[in-house]
Amino acid sequence: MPHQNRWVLKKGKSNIDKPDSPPIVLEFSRIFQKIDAQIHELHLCSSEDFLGLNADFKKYYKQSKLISDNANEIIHYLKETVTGDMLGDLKNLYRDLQLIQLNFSKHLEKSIVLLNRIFSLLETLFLPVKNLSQDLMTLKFLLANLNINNTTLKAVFGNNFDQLTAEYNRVINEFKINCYQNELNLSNLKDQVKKTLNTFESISEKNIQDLDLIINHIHYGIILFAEKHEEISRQIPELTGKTKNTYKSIANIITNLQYHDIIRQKMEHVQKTQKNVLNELKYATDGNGLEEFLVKTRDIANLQSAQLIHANKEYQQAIEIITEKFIAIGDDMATISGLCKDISASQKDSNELDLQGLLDKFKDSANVLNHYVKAGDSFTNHIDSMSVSINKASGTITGFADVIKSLKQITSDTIKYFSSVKTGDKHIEKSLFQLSALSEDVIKFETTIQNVFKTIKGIEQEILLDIQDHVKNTKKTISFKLAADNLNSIIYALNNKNSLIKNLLESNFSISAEISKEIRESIGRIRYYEFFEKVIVDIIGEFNLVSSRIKSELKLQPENRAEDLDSLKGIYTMASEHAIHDSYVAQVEDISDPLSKKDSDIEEDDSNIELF
Amino acid sequence: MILIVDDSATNLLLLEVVLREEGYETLTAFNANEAFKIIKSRKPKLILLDLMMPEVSGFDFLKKLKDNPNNSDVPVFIISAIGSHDSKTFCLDHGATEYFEKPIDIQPFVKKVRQYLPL
Repeated sequence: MPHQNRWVLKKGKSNIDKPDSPPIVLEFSRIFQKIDAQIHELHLCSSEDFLGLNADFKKYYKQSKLISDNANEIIHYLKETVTGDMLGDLKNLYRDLQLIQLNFSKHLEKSIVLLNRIFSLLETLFLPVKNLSQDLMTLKFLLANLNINNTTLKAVFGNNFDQLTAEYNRVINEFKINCYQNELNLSNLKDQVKKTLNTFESISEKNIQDLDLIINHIHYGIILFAEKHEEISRQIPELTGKTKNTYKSIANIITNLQYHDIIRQKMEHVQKTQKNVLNELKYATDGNGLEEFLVKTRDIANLQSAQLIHANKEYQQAIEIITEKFIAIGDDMATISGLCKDISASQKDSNELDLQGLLDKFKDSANVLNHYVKAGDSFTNHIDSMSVSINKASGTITGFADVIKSLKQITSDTIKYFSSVKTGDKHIEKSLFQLSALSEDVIKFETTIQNVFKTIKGIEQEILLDIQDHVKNTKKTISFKLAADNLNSIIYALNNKNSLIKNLLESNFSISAEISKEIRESIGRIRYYEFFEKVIVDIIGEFNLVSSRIKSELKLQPENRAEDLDSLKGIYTMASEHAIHDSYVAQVEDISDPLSKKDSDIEEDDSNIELF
Repeated sequence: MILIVDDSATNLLLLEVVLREEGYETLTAFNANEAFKIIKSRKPKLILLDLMMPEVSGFDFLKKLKDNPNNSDVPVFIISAIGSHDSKTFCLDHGATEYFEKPIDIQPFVKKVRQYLPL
C-alpha cells in the first residue's frame, strides 16, 4: 500500500476556542475556515460545469459519430453505385439498346420498304379488278342480248340454248361472287397494309428520337457515374480529414473532462492540508512551538497557493479546450454534411440530388421503353394480321383459277357450238365475237391479278423471313421487354440507393443543425468559468495575507523554511502536485507555478494574480 | 460486460459513453461495495478501477478481488490520478493488468480495451 500521509500533530492541549489563544492563531483559524468554505464552493461550481459539459458531450459524441458514420455510408453507397454492379448493368444496357435500335430500325425500315411495294402493287390491281368486273357485266349483257334473239336461237337449238345460257350465267355469277370477294379481300388487305405502314412509319419516326433519348439517358448515367467516382475520390481525403479531426476533438474533450476529477482531488488535498493546519492551530500557544508552527503555516500557505494556481490553470484550460473542441466538432459536422451534400447534389447550392435527376431520366426512359415493348409486339402483330389478310386474298385469287377454267370452257363450248350450227345471223355472230374477245380479256386481267398477287406473296414471304431474322437477332441480343426489365431493375436499385442517401443526408443535416445550435447553448451554460478563477484569486489573497502576516510577525527571511514539509507531500497523489511541492522546497523564491513555466500563454494569464 | 468503478460521476459517464459507442456493454459502480454486489451477480470480463475512492479504496478493492479465486482471472485496468511509482508497482504486483494515469488518452486506452476484450 503506498504511503498514506498523516499530518504529524503536535501533542498538547487544544486551546483554539480559549480566549488565551494568540490573536494570530485565532485570525488564521478564521481565514482557513473561510478558505475551506470557498473551496467547497469551488467543488460545487466545478461539478456543475463539468457534469453539464459531460452530459452534453455524451450527446454530441453520439451525434458526431452518427454523422461520421452516415457520411461514410453515403460515400459507400455512392461509390458502390457508381463503380459496382450498377455501372456494369448500365454499360450492358447501353450496348444492348444500341444493338436493339440497330436491329429494330433495320428490320422496320426494310418492312416499310416492302410494305410500300405491296401497297403499290395493290394499287396496280385496281384497274384489272375493275375491268374484270366490267367485262363480266358486259358478258352478262351479251348473254342477255343473245337471249333477246331467243326465238331464232330456240328454233335452231331447242332447249340446249337455255341450258347453255343458264350455265354461262352460273359461271359468270360464280365469277362475280369470286370477284366481289376478291375485291373485298384486296380492299381489306390494302387497308391493312396502309395501317401497318402508318404504324411502322410512326414507330420509325419516334424510334429514332425516343430510342436515341433513352440511349442518351443511359449514357448520361455512365458519364455521371464516372464524374461522381472522380468527385468522391477527390472529396474522400477531405472527409476523412474532417472525421479524423472530429475524433481528435472528441479525444481532447474526453481528456479534458477528466480534469474535473483531477481538480476535485487536488482541491481535496488542499482541504485536507487545511484541516490538518486547523488541528495544529488548536495546540499552538506561545510556549508550545508557536514560532515553528507559524513558519510551517507560511510555507503551507505558499504551497497551497501554488497548488491552487495550478488547479485553476487546469480548470480554465480544460474548459477552454472543451469549448473550443465543441465548436470544432460543430464546424466539422457542418462541413461533413456540406461535403456529403456537394457530392450528392447535381450542382453546388442545389437541393436536387444527382441520383434523383438520373432516376427521373431513367423513369422517363422506362416509360418510353415500355412503349417500345408494345411497339415490338405491335410490329409482329401487324405483320401477322397482314399475313392473314394476304392469305385470305390469296385464297380468293386462287379461286379465280377454277372459275376462269369454267369460264374458258363454257366460252369455248359456246363459240364452238354456234360456229358449227352457222345460223347466219350477223347479230349472233357479232355477239359471239365479242364473247370470245371479252373472255380473252377476262383471262388476261385474271392473269395480271394472279401475277401481281404472286409478287405480293413473294414480298410477304420476304417480310416474314425478315421478321424471323429480327426475332433470331433479338434472341441473340435482348428484346425490348428484357431491356425494359433491366432498366426497371436498375431504377429499383438506384431508387433504393437514392432513398438511403437522401435519408442519411437529411439525418446529417438535421443533426448537424441541432449540434450547432446545442453547442452554442452548451457553451452558454458554462456558468462558473470566471467565478472559479475569482474565488481562487480570493483564496490566494487570503493565503498571501497569512504569509505576509507571519513574515511581519516573525521577521522571517524567505530562506527560513519549516523542517518537516516533506510530510505534507504524502497528501498529494499526483505527479504535478509533487513537482510543485519539490519546486517550492528547492527554490527560495518564485513558486508561482513551476509546472507552467513551459507554457508561456498560461503564464501570461496568471501574471495579474498577486502572490505572496 | 465491463464494470467501471469510480466515485467520479464525470469519469463514469465518460468511460460509459465511450465504451458503449465502441460496442461494449458496461455497468457502473460508484464505490467498491456496489461493485462487489454487481460482481457477485455477474462476473465482468474487464474492470476499470479508480484508486481514490471513499470507504474502500481501489487498492483494497483490488486486493480483495484478486484474493477471491472466482474473480482472480478478471483483468483490471487501473485508471487513477495517482501518478506515483509506488502506486503503480503496488497495483501491478497485486494483479492489475494495466495502469492508466488520469487524464487518460482515450485512443490508446480503447485500443488496449479491444486488445483484452475483442468484440
